[in-house]
Amino acid sequence: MMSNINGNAAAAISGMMLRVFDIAIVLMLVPVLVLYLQYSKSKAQESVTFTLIMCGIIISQLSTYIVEFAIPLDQAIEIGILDPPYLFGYMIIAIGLYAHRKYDEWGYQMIEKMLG
Amino acid sequence: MSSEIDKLIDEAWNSLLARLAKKDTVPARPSLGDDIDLYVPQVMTMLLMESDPSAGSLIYKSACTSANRNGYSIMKRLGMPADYFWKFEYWPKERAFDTLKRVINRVFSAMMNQNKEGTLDLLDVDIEHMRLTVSFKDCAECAGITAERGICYYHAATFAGIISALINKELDGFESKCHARKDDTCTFTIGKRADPEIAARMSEYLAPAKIQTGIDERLGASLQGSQLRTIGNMVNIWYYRLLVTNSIMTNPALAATSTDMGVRYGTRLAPVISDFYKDSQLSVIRKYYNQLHHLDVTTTESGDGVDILLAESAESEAALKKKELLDFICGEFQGLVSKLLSRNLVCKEASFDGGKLKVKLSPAQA
Repeated sequence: MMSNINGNAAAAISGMMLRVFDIAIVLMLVPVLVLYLQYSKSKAQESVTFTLIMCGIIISQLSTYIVEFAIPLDQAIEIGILDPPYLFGYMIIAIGLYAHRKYDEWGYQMIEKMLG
Repeated sequence: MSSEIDKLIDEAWNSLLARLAKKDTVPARPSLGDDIDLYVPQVMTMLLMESDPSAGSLIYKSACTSANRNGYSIMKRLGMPADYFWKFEYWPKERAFDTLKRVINRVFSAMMNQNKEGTLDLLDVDIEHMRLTVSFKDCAECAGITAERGICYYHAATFAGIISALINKELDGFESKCHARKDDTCTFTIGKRADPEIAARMSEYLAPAKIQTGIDERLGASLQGSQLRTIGNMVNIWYYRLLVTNSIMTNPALAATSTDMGVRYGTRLAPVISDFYKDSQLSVIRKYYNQLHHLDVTTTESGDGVDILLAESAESEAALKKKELLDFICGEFQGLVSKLLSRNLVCKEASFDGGKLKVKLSPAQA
């Protein structure tokens, strides 16, 4: 029984460590994204599609962690509260990918519109 | 000083954009109109190239910087997203070629057509080596001129500057074929500045060289009205203004000798025009400048000297007020009038009155 308790504690600790590591990686992406935006803006080369996709990934992950902190994971899965943040994140990624596909056309239309 | 000239350059580019966007633009010259004979911009570069072996390189550097600055600003004002050509070097060849060609044709080629500078077209994009090839048919810079090497420095620089601004890369361009060397059309190769092969070709292209271009023969062709291009012999003054500000005005090395260059040119011009008009009176000056749509000029003899009134010119008033250009124009009048009247006259005074330039030529000893 004692070894069972020790085993559960070790699994819980390693699970928690993995979670912390996972969160740390995602959190580290935020300043990277901010730095990227600053750099590309200074070079006048900011990419809307890249930013949208990155934001989508980060928002979906961060919002999931926030929900997990507030509600235990098994409960959150049960009531389906994790679905909206994921869906929201995926939607932003999808918009980014769609914008990427249509970017040449939209950019050219802007020029056409300005030149009448 | 350079920022004032930058303003003149930017004003010329803005005018091109305004005309392209069909915004109401006031004609720059009510009497002579906004077109001039091709010879006028050509002679400016030919004189510079004849007098200074590094003129081509100086024109290139100045024109490339201003085209880059204005290319970027124009695209921004047209609402093109800053990342439109983001990571261009990773694009598939077909997409790179189609998209770049479409933008160049719609904006820059259209501007140049409007200016009657020539017909710009993107021929090829080699993404792997980042090389672009553009052709320029009916090039205003070299039509009717014969030279041993490519002389279209202004356009090589302009294309390199514009494409650099579009794809946000440091590019340089050299002329691989030139109409002046009897090629069908001028062709330019543009590539990365850091590319050793491009750098070597650029050094070769911009290496100082004294270029003989046959100014007198070229003037003869214009006076006789020979058709030099399929799009005609006229070019818009805004092209000329850009060329002047990017050559004689921007480069102190070129501007330093502008009076002497003007006097030499005027002296050389006199026999050609008096031969053509079969007249050596002062009246040929007005005929000549009017025929080329260059200047609206009136000359009057005043005692031993000659007064010249310049009512309209292809150069903007702000540019004319700059010493570099004023010295050249005064030198040109001095050489031309002195030779025509066989009297040694010098420019004693040049002043502006209500937008008109008054030049007073008096005997050298007075």
